[in-house]
Amino acid sequence: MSRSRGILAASLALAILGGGLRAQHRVDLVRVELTGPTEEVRLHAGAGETVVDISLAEGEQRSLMIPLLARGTPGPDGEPEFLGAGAEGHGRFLEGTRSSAPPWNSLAPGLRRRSLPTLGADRPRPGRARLALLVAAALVALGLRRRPAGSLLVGAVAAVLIAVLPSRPSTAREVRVIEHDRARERSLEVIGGRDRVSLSAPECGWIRCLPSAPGLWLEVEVRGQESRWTAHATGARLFFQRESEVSLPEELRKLHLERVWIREPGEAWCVQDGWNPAGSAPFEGREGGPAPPGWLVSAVPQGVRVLLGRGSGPENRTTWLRAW
Amino acid sequence: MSGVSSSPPPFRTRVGVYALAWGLSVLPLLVSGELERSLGGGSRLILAALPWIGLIGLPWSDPAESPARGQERSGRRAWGVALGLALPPLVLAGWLDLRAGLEREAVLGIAGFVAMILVLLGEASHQASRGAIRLHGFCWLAIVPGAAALAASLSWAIDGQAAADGLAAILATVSPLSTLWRDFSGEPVSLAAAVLRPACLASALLLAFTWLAGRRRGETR
Repeated sequence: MSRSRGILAASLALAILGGGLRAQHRVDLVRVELTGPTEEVRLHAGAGETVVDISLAEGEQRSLMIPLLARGTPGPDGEPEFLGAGAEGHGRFLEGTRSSAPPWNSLAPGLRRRSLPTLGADRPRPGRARLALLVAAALVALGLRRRPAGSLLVGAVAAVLIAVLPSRPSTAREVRVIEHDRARERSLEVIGGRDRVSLSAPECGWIRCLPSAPGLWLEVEVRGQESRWTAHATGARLFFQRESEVSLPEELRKLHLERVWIREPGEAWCVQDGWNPAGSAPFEGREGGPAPPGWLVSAVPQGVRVLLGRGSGPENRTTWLRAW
Repeated sequence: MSGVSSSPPPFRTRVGVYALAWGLSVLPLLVSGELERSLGGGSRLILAALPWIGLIGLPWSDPAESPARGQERSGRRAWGVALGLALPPLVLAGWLDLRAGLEREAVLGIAGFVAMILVLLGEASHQASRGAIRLHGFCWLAIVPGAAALAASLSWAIDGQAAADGLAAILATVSPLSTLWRDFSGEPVSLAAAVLRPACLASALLLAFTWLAGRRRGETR
């Protein structure tokens, strides 16, 4: 009986873990040497392409750290495959750095999901062209009311046009969440966005793509000595996760928190606007103020002091802090 | 009154109702700000489809479809106008759902279910206008608004009693309205599972009964 339970529990755990990993991609860093002339280099490492946008003159060489999308489970992936480096340019693999296990892997998958910020408030809008088409189709279909087949045809054509009209990528702001466990001195940083997530420099980590999009790819823009990379997946919510080495006081100094919630053990949430946790002023929050967002308070630990904050961080991102 | 210069009043009224359904289905796609946030992450396709599901099968008596002895039927299916009006907002709502990150399989499941129900209820209403208006009216009332209203009333009034909850759950699966509404607040199903739901079977039976009754009436005329 107990053996059957064990097998059942193991199967369930594998199913849950497998489901969680399917949508998750590891981002490894590799150092490559590129030789010009080239304007664009494409690399593949098992789970998606990385396109490097770099301008190199003939014979010019450049050594770069490039992020690669590796398979979801840790394991040897080998060297990346160079798919193209311009007409005569070429690339050479130098060394690789593998990211560690998925962030806070010791937590249950359900608990790890709590770090994903909600992007629901940034739902896409229909756009003027689609709305105009919608109204025009309705007027024509009503005009053809004595010919139902004609109405149906007009509706079908308009529906196809609505589906295939080009649309701009979402301009929604990215959201950043910092989780900090003071007892274990561990931090997790999550950056979420629609259609794309951008980082200022290549970093190891994990990308969760919801729904799991086969079209996930990375773009690296190299301008002089600066490089910036972006993960793209049209129609998906993307979350980049990495273990942060930044300590909480250091992070608090960089953040400007507009609103802070604190919950002492066994008490209700207290809220105060404009309070700086890194400063010397005492917290004078009041009960009964605006409640923190549901996704932010879900599964926060009980019996300890919990601090939540909303502010703006680097690159004009809305930043949420969750520390206990 | 000439049939070419103006439609018979019931047909005109029916088209007016379809225009109302169009307005109601476009409304959730236009809201923004706090109102939109209050809708949460639920499927907009479901919200856009509810008015059509509720109105496309309304029982209508159309003189053009139940003519006097010796006259020709017009043969036009008014629900073709309804589908022509419904398709663009429904596709737009589905497109918004996909862009918002909803699973493709879930959106396809909802779309398949909605398409099947619209065709079944629309055709049932068309067949009813050929003479089986009373039977269709009774069955439509029971299946579409009746079962949904009864399920909601039972859930609200006898909360917590297992037997009543079971009955409410069964009734809710029969009505396409409550089936869709449960999808909005719960987990949507795949396309294959969506078209095999009790609400589809109930709508198909409604069409079959209405068609058979209309045929018998036509034979006795």
